[in-house]
Amino acid sequence: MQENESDWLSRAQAGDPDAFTQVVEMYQTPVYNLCYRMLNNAGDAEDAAQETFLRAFQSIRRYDRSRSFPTWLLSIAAHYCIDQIRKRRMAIVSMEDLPYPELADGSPGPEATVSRKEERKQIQGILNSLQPVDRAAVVMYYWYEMSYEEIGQALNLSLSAVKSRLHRARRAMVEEWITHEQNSPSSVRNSHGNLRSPAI
Amino acid sequence: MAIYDHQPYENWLFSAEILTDEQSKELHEHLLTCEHCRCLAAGWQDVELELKAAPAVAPAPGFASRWQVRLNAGRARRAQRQAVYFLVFSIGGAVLLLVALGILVWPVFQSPYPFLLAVASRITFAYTVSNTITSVLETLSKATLEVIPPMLWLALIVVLGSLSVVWVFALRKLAYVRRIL
Repeated sequence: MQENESDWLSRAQAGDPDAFTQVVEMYQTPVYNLCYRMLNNAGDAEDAAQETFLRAFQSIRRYDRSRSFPTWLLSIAAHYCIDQIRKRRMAIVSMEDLPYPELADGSPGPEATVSRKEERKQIQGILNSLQPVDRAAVVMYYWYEMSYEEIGQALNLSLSAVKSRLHRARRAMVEEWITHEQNSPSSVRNSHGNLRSPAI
Repeated sequence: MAIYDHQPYENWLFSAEILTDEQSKELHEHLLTCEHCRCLAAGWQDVELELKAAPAVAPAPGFASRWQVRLNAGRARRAQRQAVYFLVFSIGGAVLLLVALGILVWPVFQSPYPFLLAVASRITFAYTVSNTITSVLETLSKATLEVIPPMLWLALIVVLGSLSVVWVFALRKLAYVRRIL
């Protein structure tokens, strides 16, 4: 797989669009997921992911092979999404007014399905409450398990800035979660059966 | 308890760094007594579980094909834009040249007689010069033919012909690469 990827990247850097299509096939889900988590809308996420791959294709010759390709690609996606959120904010509304998206869920049972959907909507809502750069850092850390250094490279941040942004984001997410729990009558227990106290 | 008293515990809760045994013990003791931090810790536990459980969302099938269509459309648009730029640039250049030519020619149109007179005098001068050169060359060739005898002319032609043959052979010899077996 690694060899294939390296071969495709070499060919793409030589200007072969078919090789880059293979790269698109390979990384479509991570890029789309990042865009979706950032923009909270399937249509916008599709546009952003497509634009990310176009930009990557246009600047593939400038890609430094010593760096990680997924980090480079996700960096393009994150910066594009951050710009879109800023434009959107300037143009219209607060993200709180936007509806939570419907996510496909493979878990069995209608009750469980409804419960999981609710929680996923809630987690997406919590993500939406974050600043765009903090949101990108959280998605990179929790979905792609990127290190602080890689997140810093992708978002042009120092190591200490990444740590402090993630710290701030965690705090903000918890506050949003608690507020939502307090406003929701059915959430005395969470879906995992935990009581409202930590396992200390 | 004042807000700043929670600060170190909150830092430990949200830092994702591994705590020392002493720090863990201190945090544990604090959580037993502090409702605020206990609530935060419980909330964070839930949020972290949700974050880790949330699946990666995949795009609708055919994403790569849609990308290729978009790439081709973008290329066609770029080519069209370049063609328009080229056309505009060419037309602009032609208009500029015409304007410059108009500025140069405008005085001639205003009073054409001095210009026509100058052209006629140039043509007359050129005709006179060419006539003079022709008559000088004619006189020279006649004088040369009278001075050099016919036998010397013949010898000169033979020598020049031989030199031409030698030159052609030498050229062929040098032009062909010798094949070494």
